[in-house]
Amino acid sequence: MIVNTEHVHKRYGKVEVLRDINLQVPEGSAFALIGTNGAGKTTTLRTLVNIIKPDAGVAAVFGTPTHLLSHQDYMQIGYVSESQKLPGRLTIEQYFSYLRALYPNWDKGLELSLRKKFELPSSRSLSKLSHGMRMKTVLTAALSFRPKLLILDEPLSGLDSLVRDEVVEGLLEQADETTILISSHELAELENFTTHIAFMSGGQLTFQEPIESLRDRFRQISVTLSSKKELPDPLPASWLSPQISGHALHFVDTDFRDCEQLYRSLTKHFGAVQFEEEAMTLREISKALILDARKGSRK
Amino acid sequence: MNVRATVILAILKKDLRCLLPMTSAVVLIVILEAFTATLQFETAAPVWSLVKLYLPYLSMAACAMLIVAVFQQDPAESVEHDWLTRPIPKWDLLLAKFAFLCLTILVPMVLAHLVANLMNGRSLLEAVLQATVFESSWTMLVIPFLTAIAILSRSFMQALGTLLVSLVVLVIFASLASIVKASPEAINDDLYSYGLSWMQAIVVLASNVAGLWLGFRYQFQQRDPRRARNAVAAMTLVSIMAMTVPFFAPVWPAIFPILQSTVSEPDLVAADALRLDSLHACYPASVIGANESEHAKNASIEGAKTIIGAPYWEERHLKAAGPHSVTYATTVTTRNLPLDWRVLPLKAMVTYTSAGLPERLQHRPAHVPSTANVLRGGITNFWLASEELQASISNDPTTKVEFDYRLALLAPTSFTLPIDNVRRHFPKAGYCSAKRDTAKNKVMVDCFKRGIQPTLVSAELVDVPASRVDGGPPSFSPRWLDVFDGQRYEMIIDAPTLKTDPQVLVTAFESKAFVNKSRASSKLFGVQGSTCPRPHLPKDMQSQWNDESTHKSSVVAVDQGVNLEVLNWGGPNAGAGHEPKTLVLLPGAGATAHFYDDLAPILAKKYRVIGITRRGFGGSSKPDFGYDIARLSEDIVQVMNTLKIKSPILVGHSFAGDELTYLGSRYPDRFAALIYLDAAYDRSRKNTEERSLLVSLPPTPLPALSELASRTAIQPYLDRIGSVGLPEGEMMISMDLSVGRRKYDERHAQAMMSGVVAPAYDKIKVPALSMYAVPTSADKLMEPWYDKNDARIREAVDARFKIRSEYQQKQIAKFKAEVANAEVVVLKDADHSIFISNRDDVVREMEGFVGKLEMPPP
Repeated sequence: MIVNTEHVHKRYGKVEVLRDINLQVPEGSAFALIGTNGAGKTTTLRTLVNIIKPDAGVAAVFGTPTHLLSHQDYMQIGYVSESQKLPGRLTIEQYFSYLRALYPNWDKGLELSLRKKFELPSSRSLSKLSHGMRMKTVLTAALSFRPKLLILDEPLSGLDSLVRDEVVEGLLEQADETTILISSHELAELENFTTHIAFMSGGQLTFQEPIESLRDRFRQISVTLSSKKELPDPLPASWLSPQISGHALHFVDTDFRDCEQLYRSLTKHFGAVQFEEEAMTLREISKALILDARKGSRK
Repeated sequence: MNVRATVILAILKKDLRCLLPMTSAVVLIVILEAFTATLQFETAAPVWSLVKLYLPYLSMAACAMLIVAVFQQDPAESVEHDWLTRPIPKWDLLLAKFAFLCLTILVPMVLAHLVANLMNGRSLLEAVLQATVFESSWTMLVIPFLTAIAILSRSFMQALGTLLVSLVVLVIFASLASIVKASPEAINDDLYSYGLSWMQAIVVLASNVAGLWLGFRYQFQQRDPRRARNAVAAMTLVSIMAMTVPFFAPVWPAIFPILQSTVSEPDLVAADALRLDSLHACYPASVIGANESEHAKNASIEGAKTIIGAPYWEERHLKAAGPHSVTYATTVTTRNLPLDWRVLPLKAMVTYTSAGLPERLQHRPAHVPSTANVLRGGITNFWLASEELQASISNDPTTKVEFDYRLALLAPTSFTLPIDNVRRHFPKAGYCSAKRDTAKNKVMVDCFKRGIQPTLVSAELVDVPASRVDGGPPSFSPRWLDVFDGQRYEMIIDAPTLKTDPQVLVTAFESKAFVNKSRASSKLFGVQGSTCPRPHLPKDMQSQWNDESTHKSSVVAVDQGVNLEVLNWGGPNAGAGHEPKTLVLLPGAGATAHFYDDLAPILAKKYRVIGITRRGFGGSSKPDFGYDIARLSEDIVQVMNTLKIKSPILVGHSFAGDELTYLGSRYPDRFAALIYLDAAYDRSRKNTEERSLLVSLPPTPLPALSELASRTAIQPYLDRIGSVGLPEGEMMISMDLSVGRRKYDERHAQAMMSGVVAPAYDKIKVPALSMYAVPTSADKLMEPWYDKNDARIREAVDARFKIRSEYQQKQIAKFKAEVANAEVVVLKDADHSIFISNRDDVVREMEGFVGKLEMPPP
């Protein structure tokens, strides 16, 4: 595992922002961390680069506890955050020249090609860049030394679709060589290259798994009931967002194995039913999870 | 290039780019400050003095802001800044920041000082030494603290806020320290304890550096801002405590051994090299009646301040001591130490233990500035005792009064420095120059020393030690601490005109020993009775002195703005063919013509008698110039010219012998004869041996205040000290009757003494009579206030007698041999005031001598 956290806790005053986080990111994976705003994604990522010290538990990157990460380790970690504060008075050219001196493994050719691709104006000072331009700059800065691990904290939020495509394209070029850990509250753009998914809600890691298994176990279920029925109480743990109206019941099954097993479960609650199961896109899955998480937090 | 150097350079470059406007402003301020501090501009514009006053503060504030700003470029406390995930070794980041500060503050500061010093005409070496002085006091203490704050703060503004809060905490602690009742064993800022601030500085520096290190480690390495803040706060608290606690907690027992360990040969000076004596003085310190109004009390305090010792008491001390309190004095003097050594009291305390007291009382003395010290090489302290304390002590035979001194003994190394504005290098005082300001009649002495510093530097006019000025307070820091230090010592000496060809004596003092000296007594130390006499109200202190001598007083101008007091006792009327001879009487050093108030009326029966008070004393003008023997002698001729006195007989006591010798050889036709009254000695020789013996003996006790009320009242005191006394008129004019000491400017006396030359008796062309007071045994030099059982005193007195006898014999022989027409009379065991102790003998001898003279025709 390139990233491994065990029982990580973090609290700010009375608010527990991370609760027993056990995150494992396999080497070479493109790992998406999704969750609502405030779920703890940013805090988790910050603990991984030793920006934040966990109150309890151990976070390790490359097998090294994060508080012991050396500058050599940082030469292998690219970190991009939407809220990254840059030395604003520097021009783009000055900024990259500063960074080049810090990384012996810097690939100037890659840097120049990315800058060209992203059309970054060399002489503009960092404080005068638009949000999109700034994100492209930090992404270029994170990619140009070909890090082993790329940690991206909401790199796409607030970007218009055109820029978003550009950024994703830039990322895709790296996907083969680099382990990417990316947080986002929506996954549509990541669907093409994400290999693993983890979901966070209320400071907890709900699950983490390869995307195939996720796709396999998530199904949109539409049921036609024989008569008007109430939802079962308690609801089965694997059902998300159940909606019942007249004879129709819709929900997301997060633990779909096969139709037979589902049919048995449905008849147990409602008697004779008819149903349809439908595979879900990653976007639909994340939407369902997030809606459920919001509902949960409202409760 | 080395990878680390590349990283440091990259950060440095980035910070310079990011902070360009602020850095430019700070560099400009730093350079301006360096120039204004070093260069003297000839302008009196008020704006200029304001700039000079506030620029150092502005510069400090600007530097502090730059320090905060550069660390806030890559703030550790942030969770968003770009540098957080960059491969920057944390110590390299710190190094890069310090490199930035060196480049933007230190380098411009050093270069500007270098250029300014070169423009000031200093040599390149001195300019370099001076420009590279590490400003230890401010920089060393503040930079680690500032850096810690800069590292821990979330933002620039928060850092400034924290600095302000720290300042407020310091002020609160300092004011707490002043409220808390200080232990008698606390550092006392009244004495010379500020020379010990290096100890506090070490603690402050160590805790600030530790705070920085811990803060840095917790913040950067462990990303634990709370721990980092706690560590820095704890260390800051230690610093603040180090700065304030010694002023109220009993720290002396701990720090004195440390101090002693800083001198290389602590046993060099034995504790018995110091004497602790009383001055037998006991004065009302506070003559406040218990029922007086506040206004009357304040008026009484003002009155009390004129009393000895009382000027050095602060009003709060006098008020605390209450009505009917008394003050008494003690002295510490050296013995068997060279005369030019200095004793500085670091701490002095008295402890009273008595059954009558509810608890053991510990008091400190009033602070007497070293320049006001009456004893050269020694110190005087004044103590306060309240009425209650006096009563308790007098009623209790078990009383114990213990004096405890902690003293520093300083050895001098002196250099003579011409006043020519040329800088010269002296090993222990550094680069020194002296410049004369003729308009203000001052000499500006300036020394600059790098590396190991002397404890104290002082400057004085050669042979006028009373003109001494210290170049700042002493510093008792150990040598190793001074390695990076650089100090400037500036001294302004008044009135170089005191000497005709003045030179400056620069002295660098080094701490040689730190000595603990105690003495116990069963009563108020040195006071005759069991307690001080009851204090007197001001009306009782009214003087009842009268000058009843039959003289007329006038003044005669002898020099620009210089008038001499001339006393005329008249004489017999001129008879047919007989013009009475004129005697011109000259007093000794420090005295006035009134010294002859009792003798002159007797002489006036046969002769015309006038007396002249020389410049600097009594009723004569006291200019700061003209004290060489030639000028003083010319003053006499001037008076004779004005008063048309022809061929008088010149009579001189003591020091006046030198004027007699000068005038007798230079103007033989203007004087009929010379009469020396224990005056014909060679004063140009350095009688160091006898002087050091004298200093090692107990000083003359002071009279009690009540004894100074009148001639009759003082007689018991005179009897007590075995003195022949002075004429009443002389007492009135030359004594400070509130103290019982002669009053004159010590500088004038010293300038006068240093202006003497070896007597050229062979050039005296007029008849001369010399009378000598010669003690016949050592017992005659044993003063009544000496402890006859003290073997060391006995030994000193014997030695003094031996030196004195040999010297006198040689002087008498020389006079006899060299003066062409000499007559010598020896009066055995007479007082030095020979015409008071042996008045009849003196009159007889004088009349005999004058009778033999053949007076030239008028």
